[in-house]
Amino acid sequence: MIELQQVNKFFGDTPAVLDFSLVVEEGELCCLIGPSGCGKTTTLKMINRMIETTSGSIRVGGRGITELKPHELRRSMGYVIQSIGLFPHMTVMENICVVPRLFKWERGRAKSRAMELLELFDMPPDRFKDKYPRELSGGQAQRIGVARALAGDPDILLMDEPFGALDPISRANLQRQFLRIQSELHKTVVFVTHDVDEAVRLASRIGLMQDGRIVQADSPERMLSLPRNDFVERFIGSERSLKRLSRLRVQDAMRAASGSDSSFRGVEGSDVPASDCFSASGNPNAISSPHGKSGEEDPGPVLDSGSDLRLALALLLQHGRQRLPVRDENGRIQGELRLLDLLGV
Amino acid sequence: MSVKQAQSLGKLILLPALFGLLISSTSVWEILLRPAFPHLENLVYSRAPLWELVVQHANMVAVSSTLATLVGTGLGVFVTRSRGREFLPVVNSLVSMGQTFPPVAVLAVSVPMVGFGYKPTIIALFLYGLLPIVRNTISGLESVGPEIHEAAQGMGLTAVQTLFRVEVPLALHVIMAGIRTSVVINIGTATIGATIGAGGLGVPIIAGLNSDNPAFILQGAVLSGLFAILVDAGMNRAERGAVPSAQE
Amino acid sequence: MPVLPRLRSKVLFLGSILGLTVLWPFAFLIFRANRIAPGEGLSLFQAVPWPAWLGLILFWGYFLLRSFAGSERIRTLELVPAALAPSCLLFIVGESATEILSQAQPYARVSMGPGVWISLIAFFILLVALYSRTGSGRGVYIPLGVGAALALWVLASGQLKDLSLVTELIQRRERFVSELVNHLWITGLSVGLSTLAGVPLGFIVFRRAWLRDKTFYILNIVQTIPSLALFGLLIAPLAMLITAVPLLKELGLRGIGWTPAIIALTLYAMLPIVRNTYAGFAAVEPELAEAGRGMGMNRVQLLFLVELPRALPILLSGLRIACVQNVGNTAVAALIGAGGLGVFIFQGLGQSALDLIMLGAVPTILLAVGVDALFQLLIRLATPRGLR
Ligand SMILES: Nc1ncnc2c1ncn2[C@@H]1O[C@H](COP(=O)(O)OP(=O)(O)O)[C@@H](O)[C@H]1O
Ligand SMILES: [Mg+2]
Repeated sequence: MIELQQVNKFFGDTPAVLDFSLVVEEGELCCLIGPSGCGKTTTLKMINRMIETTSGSIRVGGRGITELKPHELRRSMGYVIQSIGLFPHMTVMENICVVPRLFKWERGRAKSRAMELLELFDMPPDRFKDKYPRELSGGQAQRIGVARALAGDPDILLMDEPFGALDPISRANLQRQFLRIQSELHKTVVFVTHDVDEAVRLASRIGLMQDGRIVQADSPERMLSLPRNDFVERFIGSERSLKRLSRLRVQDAMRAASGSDSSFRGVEGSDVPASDCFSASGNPNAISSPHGKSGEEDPGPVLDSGSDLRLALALLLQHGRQRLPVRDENGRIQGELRLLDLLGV
Repeated sequence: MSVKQAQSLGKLILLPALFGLLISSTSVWEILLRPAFPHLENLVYSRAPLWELVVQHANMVAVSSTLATLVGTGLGVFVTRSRGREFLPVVNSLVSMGQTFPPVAVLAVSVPMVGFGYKPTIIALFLYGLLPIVRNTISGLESVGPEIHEAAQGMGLTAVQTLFRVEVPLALHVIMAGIRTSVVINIGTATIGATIGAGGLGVPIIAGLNSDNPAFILQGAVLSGLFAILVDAGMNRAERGAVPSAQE
Repeated sequence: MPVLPRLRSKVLFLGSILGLTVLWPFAFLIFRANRIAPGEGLSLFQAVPWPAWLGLILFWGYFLLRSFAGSERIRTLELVPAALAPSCLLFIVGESATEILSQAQPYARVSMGPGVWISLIAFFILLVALYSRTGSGRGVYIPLGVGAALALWVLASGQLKDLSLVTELIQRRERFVSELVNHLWITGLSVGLSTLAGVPLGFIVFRRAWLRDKTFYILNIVQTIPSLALFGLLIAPLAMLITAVPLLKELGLRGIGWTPAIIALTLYAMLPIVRNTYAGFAAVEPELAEAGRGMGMNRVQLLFLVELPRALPILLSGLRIACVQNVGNTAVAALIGAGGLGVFIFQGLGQSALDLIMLGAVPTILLAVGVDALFQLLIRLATPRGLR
């Protein structure tokens, strides 16, 4: 748990953060958003004392952060920045092992921890562990950046626009992957972003900042449906209802298939793996564009139960369908999603 | 007047004035050195007037550095054109090899080849002075990116126009820095020229070392040191004047 | 219609022409009746037996033709003669010297003429030209390695013992070794002291911006002053200081010799070392320092785990410049009685003994080139693969 109480920060006479109070609960993913220069980074860096507060108190896990030496405090938290900062003279493995080394773990333990993390991020250790940072793509490098921050198994993760420099596709991939990992690890995360969509997709709570102050701190749903003032409303943007859809998963709105229901076109029985029907296996993206069997009309794409409703809506409209089949992680057809049902969400 | 201004005024007027005084009047040396060396018989080097040594020194450096600049920039330009690019690897490796040769050794080696005196000094200074100029000309011209060449071509500039209106102005401060390095090295090497009978400001130093006269040594050392600093500062100034982008 | 053959490779062409100047006008060997007698040039044809000069003509003739015809790519087989030629030339030079001296008066000397030096430069150009046009693959470096080994063998085997430079060396063997050691000590000690002072100073200058301009301003001035002048400037004040404080004299300090030499050379080496230390630390990307701090490194850990490894290659290349520069300036320090290889240079100049001059100058050059190569290797080894 991270508690900030009436925190102020002045650079000389210029205020950067003012009267800032916020509690981030255990296991919560709290996004700080706001226009550039509103004090997000400053707030984040005060939590691990990269910047000292001018006044106010910050407590982590019930203890004031000034009770520890700064570098000890920082070792107990993961820290990820937009420019990643992988050490160019170290391999991927060595980069991940930095904090374990600082903790003086024995070699074997540090190594197996690094392997575990590479697996977690879908980066086969054999392929990646001996690579150097300049041999990685932006998305791969940032995944290593996050893995490195998790290496010491900290309870808290501080992330400053971690996916900000990536192209939209790798960014979406990383967000999805990060959500999955977070749902396993339940870290307490403070995540700075200026991208409302990212915040809405990831956060369990959003703190919106303006000119160093927090304007509204709420769950994404409430932020979207009950913006406190004009600024919040303008910042969140006009597509609020669409954004809300991005919070929901296909499985929340789909109709489960019953054994007798055979209305799914192109699917002979719900227990047949969809990948067999559509030969769309191995596609890591949410949506596959399958090829129909010879002679049959295009059956349309299959939705993944875990992908978000905003994407599903886009596909329904794009393919002019009233309904599309949904499959689970194992590729089995689970049910279908109907356009009409989305209107009621 | 700020400290900076005072400093630059000092450099602009004081040092040259001091230098001028020291080479034109022997009594200044008497006044300065007599207290330090009360028993020394010959206090001021007198076999040649000091200003003449300065002229000899300046002459050696000017002749060799002018030649080196003309040939060096020409060579640098040649090997970066498409017709001469073939020579680039050879020139690059000769230059980087040559730059590790100590100047004093180059000077010494030229004696068996050419003999003693003015000529071998000029040849050694010229050859050695070429290296930084060629190197900086090449790296300056090579640093002009392909997109700039493309833009120049797209605007209809000929190769010669591109060279003189685009590449040279962009590379000028790197080239000038090479010339400056070359001149400073040559001033230093020219003092050693005194040992092969080339004259210059090294003469009093060598004479002082041979006759155990610390005052002679000091005169030669102070004058050649001042001369190098003055020329370096002057070239620095010229460099900034010539290259607007080099100014902060 | 007959056309002139088209020139394919200008470098090869010019290299071959340069190589062929050994036929005319440059003398190949120089004969002197004794150590300080005036020299008499011997042409290639006078100096070496016919198979040798014929071989040399055929060799350059081949590459001259090759610059007009044949494939664009150089085959590995063609590298073999080019890589072996320098050692063969040296071998022949040694043979001829022995031959000529066997028919001459006892004190006669034979030395390499401009023709030999120019041939060596032509071989260098030829090799660079050929190697820039070979295919990749490690095999192509085998001839070069064999050539280098062969050259070392020629030098070490005593084949050149009748060349005047080597005769001079043999006569002064003991003095040469002691001056070489002396030279290495002066250079090593001055660069060592300069490193001890310069690396911390470079780091301080990196951390404290206000010191930066002043420091570089002063070091630049020091570097601008001619080495001989800097030595000279130290002599008188040191002499006075030592007269005033006799204790210093008992510590072994003198107004002339090692003391001013080491002081001046240490000052000289400061600029490259401080400049490159600063540049090395300045090259550390700010996000690396931020990431390191954010991960909980303290200052010392940040320095040794992140900043220093990142800065090391640049720092080492400063050391390289300082070393190469000081090898040369140490030779100048012989003028103020510090010893070193410069002793032979200046003695030789004083006696007009050309071989003695070369005995000082050639090893000084080789030493500088060797130190440079050593540092290049060291820098390669110290650069982690991720930074290359
Ligand atoms: N080290 C600093 N010195 C002075 N002002 C700073 C410093 N860091 C940030 N600021 C100022 O504080 C304000 C907040 O900055 P920051 O927290 O980086 O904003 P954000 O991350 O939301 O874009 C800005 O006005 C910025 O200019
Ligand atoms: Mg920020």
